[in-house]
Amino acid sequence: MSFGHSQRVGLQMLNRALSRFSHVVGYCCIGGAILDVVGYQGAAPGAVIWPIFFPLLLTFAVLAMLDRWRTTAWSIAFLAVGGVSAYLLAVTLLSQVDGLQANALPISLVKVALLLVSGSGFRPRTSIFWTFAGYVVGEVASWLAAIQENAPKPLDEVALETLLGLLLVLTTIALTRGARSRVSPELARAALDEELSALRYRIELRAASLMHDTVLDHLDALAADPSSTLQPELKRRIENDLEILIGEEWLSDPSPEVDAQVKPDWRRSAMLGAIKEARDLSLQVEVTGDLAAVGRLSRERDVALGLAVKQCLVNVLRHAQVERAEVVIIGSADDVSVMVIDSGRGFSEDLVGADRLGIRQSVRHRIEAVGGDVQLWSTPGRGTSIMIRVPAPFVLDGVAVTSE
Amino acid sequence: MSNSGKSYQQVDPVGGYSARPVTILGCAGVVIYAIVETVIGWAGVSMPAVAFIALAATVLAAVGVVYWSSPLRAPFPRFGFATIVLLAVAAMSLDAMASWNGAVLPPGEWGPVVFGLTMVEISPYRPPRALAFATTFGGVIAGVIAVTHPATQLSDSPTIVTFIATVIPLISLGFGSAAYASALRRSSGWLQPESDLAAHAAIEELRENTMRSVQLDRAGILNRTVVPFFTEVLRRDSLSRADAAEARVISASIRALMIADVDRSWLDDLIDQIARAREDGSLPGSEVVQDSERLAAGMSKEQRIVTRVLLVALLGQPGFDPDGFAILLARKGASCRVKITAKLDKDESIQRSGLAPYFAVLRIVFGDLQVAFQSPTLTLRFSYDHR
Repeated sequence: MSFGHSQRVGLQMLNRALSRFSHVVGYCCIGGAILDVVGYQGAAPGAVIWPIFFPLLLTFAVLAMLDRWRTTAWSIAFLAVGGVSAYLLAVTLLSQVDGLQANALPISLVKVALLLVSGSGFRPRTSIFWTFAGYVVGEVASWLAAIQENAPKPLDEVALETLLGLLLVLTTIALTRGARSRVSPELARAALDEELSALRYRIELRAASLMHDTVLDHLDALAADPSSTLQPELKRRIENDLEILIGEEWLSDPSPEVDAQVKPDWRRSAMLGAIKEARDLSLQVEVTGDLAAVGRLSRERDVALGLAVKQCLVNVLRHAQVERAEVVIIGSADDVSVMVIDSGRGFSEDLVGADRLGIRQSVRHRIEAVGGDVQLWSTPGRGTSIMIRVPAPFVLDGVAVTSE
Repeated sequence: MSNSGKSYQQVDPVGGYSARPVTILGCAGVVIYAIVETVIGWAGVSMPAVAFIALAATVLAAVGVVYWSSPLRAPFPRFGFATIVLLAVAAMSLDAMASWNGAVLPPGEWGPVVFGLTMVEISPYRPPRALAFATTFGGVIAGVIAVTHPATQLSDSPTIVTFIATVIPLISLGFGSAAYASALRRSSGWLQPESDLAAHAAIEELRENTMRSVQLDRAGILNRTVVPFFTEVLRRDSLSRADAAEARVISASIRALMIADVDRSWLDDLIDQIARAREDGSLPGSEVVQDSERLAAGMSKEQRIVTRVLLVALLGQPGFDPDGFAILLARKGASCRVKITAKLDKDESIQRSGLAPYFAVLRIVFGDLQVAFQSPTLTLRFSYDHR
């Protein structure tokens, strides 16, 4: 769906469409006139009607040119060739077919094509001028033919009705552009605001998750530390994180378009980095499954998955009361799923305090922000399994291949 | 559904909406045209009752076009289109039948022109393929009428000339409409990447500012308490009971801030943003959003954009009363139901006309949109699948 074309662009679209409409009607009218001539020639084999095919075919060809190149020069050419054709057609039919008048249908069809096609592709005001020009040329052509052949010249209702109808439509279009001009900019603005809102949300989420993983983690560790000296590992992590937080690059939001092209080597992926960090904290982590699938993730998703897995493993260390966890990686055609399993004390998610943000903020929201989802199964006393699914389509020569 | 099966109204709802005045005018014009032609050709009518029924069918078709092209019924339904095509065919056939025993040749009848004009009126609302198919169907009927009409047999004109004269208005207008619908839809598709590029460029420009703004917010929180505390602990390289207590206090204050943030949705932010941007203290804040399950997060980007534009317009309506404004999101099965109520102290017709373009856009994205206005309360209901 499109949001918020400008008034100028909307008018361009409308002109292009009206032009297409006029040209197709023009093709039908001239084609109909040609077939009519065939009919008259067939009904009166002795009459000399057939030469009129050539100017009609030429008019058809000029219309095709105008259809291809909508320029003033081709419009003038169409008006000139069509006018001459209308005149020759009228002269031929009035002289060769008994009982016909200057408003006979084949002549009217060419006149309708003239007034419809001449004005096509221009702005409404200019279009009205060209439409009038087309009408006048057609009427003058048939009027001259009627005089020449001494035939009656009744009012051509078909041409007049087409002229009035077209003028009414063009006037209405010119008068009702207000609705588009009011809503379109607002839609465009809303689309931009939505993009910005999503961007800000991503950055704030990153900030919140990072704050949770670093600052709150360290504060909790300090609050719970019974010793009077700072543990060297904790000191190292605080120093490291403080440096990052004081710096200015920690919230940088890599462009998703560029990011999607940068596939990490799975051996250096953020997820394996998280597992290594957990092992450094003395958690035994057993990794099984399709490790190479992690290499299909975009950088943004790799980082989000790594940080989410890290939070899961930190939770095992801190709350599960076990020293061992299992990480299972499953790669499918469309996504990568990572399951973090422990056989610890488990918990009920409903009973987790509103102030505990680990699963909610650092895992669930973080993964949802990159298009994935998280499922959690835990029973008090029987362990916890967390399934994290992140989209990762197969890519062949830059084209994503999905299982659909 | 791919764009090829969609109408212009579905691809560009604003464009579809802005075509409606022409549609209404066209419908009125078609009815007037049929009546005038009937009056002018009354001498050739041999069955007046049938002529009246033909006119009634034309009026019904025109009413159908106006009814189903309403922004509140978008997108134009297939059933509605089929009904209108059948009514137009009936009008064409009955018009011919009314002068069956007369001397009026089929090209002198108004039926084929009315059929073609009806296709023109519907062109912004139905896919080109459907218009082309209906035109072919109508063309065949018109052709059969032209060939079998007794006046054709008695006429001096060659049958092929009568046939072409009868069918050409219908097929030229019908296929012209299909081409018109196709060109509108294609233009919309071509121009979309340009709009996307422009939006992308604007976002790239604002990306830095957004990051800087978030950075400043967070740095403010950290620099006040966390950074000095960590720096001091690291400098001393030792921990005291007071340090542990301070760590707990700082942790609790940061958690409180994060919890307040974490449950806010884009809808909460939007309502607050509108109030801030308008600098109008009377406008409501995010407290009007009742979304305990954070269902707003499940809306697609398209759904968010149209909801955003509607809410901005609604809160800016003359006569908007903040007291009666509420947004309720509730889960029902796999879908989420949204109910927006607003008190608008102005005439219903003014409100409807002012908000109609927004309803048109909303209706395309939320197919089940219901709008009720019971003065002074406007109620909108729609739903979406929760992702």
